[in-house]
Amino acid sequence: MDFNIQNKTKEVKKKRYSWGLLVALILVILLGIFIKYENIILNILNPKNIGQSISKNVNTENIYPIKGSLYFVKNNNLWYIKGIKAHKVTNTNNVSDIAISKNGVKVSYVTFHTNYSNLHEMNINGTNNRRITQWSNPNIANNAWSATPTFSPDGQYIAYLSNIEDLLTGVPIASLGVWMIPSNAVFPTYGSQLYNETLLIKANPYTGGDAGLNWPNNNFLLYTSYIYYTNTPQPNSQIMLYDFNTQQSYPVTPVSSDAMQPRLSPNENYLAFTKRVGNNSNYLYLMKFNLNNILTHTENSNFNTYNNKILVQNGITSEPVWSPSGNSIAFSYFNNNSFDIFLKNIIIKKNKLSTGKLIQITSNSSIDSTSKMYWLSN
Amino acid sequence: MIINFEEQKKLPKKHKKLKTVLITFVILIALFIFLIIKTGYLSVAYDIFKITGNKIKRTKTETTIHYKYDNSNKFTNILLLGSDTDPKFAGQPVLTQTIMIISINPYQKKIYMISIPRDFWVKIPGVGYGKFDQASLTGGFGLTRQLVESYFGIKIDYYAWVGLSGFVKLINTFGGVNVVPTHPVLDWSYPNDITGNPKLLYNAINLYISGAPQYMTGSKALEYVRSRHGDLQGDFGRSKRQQQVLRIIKNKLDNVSTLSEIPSLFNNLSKIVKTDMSIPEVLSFAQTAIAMKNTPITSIVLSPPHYSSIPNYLIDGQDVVLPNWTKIHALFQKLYGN
Repeated sequence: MDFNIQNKTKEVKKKRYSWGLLVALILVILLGIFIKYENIILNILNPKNIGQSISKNVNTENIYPIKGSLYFVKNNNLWYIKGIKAHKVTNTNNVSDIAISKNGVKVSYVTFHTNYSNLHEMNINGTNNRRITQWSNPNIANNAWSATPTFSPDGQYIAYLSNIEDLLTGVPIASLGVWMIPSNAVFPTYGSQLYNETLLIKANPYTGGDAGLNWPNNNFLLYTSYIYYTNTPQPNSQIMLYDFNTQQSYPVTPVSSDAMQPRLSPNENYLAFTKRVGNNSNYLYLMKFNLNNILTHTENSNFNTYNNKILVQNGITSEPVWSPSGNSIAFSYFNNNSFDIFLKNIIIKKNKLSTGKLIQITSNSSIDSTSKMYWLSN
Repeated sequence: MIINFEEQKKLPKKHKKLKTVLITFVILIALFIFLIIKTGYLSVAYDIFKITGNKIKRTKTETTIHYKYDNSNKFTNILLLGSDTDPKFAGQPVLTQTIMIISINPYQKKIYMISIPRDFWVKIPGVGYGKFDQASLTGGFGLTRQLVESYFGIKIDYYAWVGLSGFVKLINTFGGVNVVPTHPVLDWSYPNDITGNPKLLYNAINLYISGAPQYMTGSKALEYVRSRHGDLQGDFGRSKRQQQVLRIIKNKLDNVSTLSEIPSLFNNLSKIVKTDMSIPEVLSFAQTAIAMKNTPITSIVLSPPHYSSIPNYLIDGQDVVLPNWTKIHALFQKLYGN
């Protein structure tokens, strides 16, 4: 009996031990799953959690090295971050609105002056600087703005914003349209200003014009358009696609979406963009990009049906840029009295998308939030 | 461990300490905006009015004003006035191109921000019919106050006025503002009158402001809220931008945690802002502001049907706006009635 009792006691203890082990194992597995898929789980539990509280999710303790080179503008000079170090490329104090060719060789940028701005080009290391446009007429009516250049995929052309049309027609419409120019164009004198320039997209009058150009391949160009929408007292922005084959523009987001600053992922499956919200916020979004749908789409005015995902739902973000691998999006974010570079990792598995924590790359950098960033692989 | 650009900070440390919800309404009071347009009306009455002090008196006709709305006495109403003429006509009467009512009701937790079109065609005592912004030329800010009270039916408790240079200094005092523009701004005839160069006072320049989110200094913020030629909505669009910047400043002050800086700040601002509020009144407002930190602001820019939608309506060669007082009073009844 004693023996049996002891055996039974041992069995009970063994069972308890096994159950305890099993529970512990389950807890460890659950903990592992939670750690690995924390953001997905939190998102399911509370869809607004991700990115809502910047202070909670900011990576302030770990070094996050940048793979490749991330170019940006600060204090009117070109900079880049490689690994964990920032490097200053120019000392001219006049660089704004940069664009970098796909092969990483050339930089186009804009110098702003009272009454006008000019388009320039230089090598990626800041050498061989040359001016492309030549606006500097003492008569303010004979000047124009150049802004937001972007290279064609082969680097042969630059698309940029300008109000040259005002000069051609003599009637100012206070809006910048999208123009195209050969990247090797030379304008030695003021009189030859319009040599080889082509108007691609006419801007809507009195809106300020177009913005946010992105030229990912030879077939189309993405841009931001502003338009006065029915019953809205001020123009709303929307992202548009200009098809080089049909020479037509197609809406990518609805007319009243307030979406802007489009940036297509390297595999062209996702579109990152920002969206103006409320009085003074600008959130970071991601949506599936399907060219056929856009070209055949009958515009749906309900932005919520566009399969969007909000990456940052707080404060002011600007100018997203994809990493060369398409696994991360860097962007400028206003934090502690400064626009700094932040980053979100993108995880796409079995066509499902999730994002990592908000990672802070710079602090107190006061980068130029109106200028695009470019992320090169080397 | 983050790549730190600390040494590159653009905001002076002193300015960064400016925190104080308390000053919210000082600022609101202080902030306005202004603007625009070189005009021919100034010759009407330069010699009648001079800005010589911080106090303005109610006019004698005040007793005839009928306050229409049941709940209006629960609101504190501040009249914000802005002019673009201080560098051009120092010490002379000014137009009030920006006219805004800020109403605060701590009991019902309501805050209103209402912009009045400066081109409203109204009867001005001693002048006859004229535009709303002309009242200050003939009767000073006191007459503007009287017009607002008599036409809109609410009592104005305080006023504050700021000119162009004052606005720039004000924004800089608060370390600049970060703005998500409503749209890019392009203006082919923006007045270039605050450079300090007297030769440039009447010059115009081309102006372009990107639509991307950006940090704005005082002068850039001034360009943003003052430009109107490139806006299809003209003065209306500009008023929306002015209200946007006011709300940004208000939000900035919501994070402020101390009252101690108010007196010195008030003294600094008193050089650029004309107001009839005293420091104790500002402190009292500050406490109210703290209590109402999370109260949403109702922003209104009067527009059709509150006035005729006929564009470019000319009277005596002036581009005017005809108010629809029935609609306006219905709106105010809704706001201040219950």
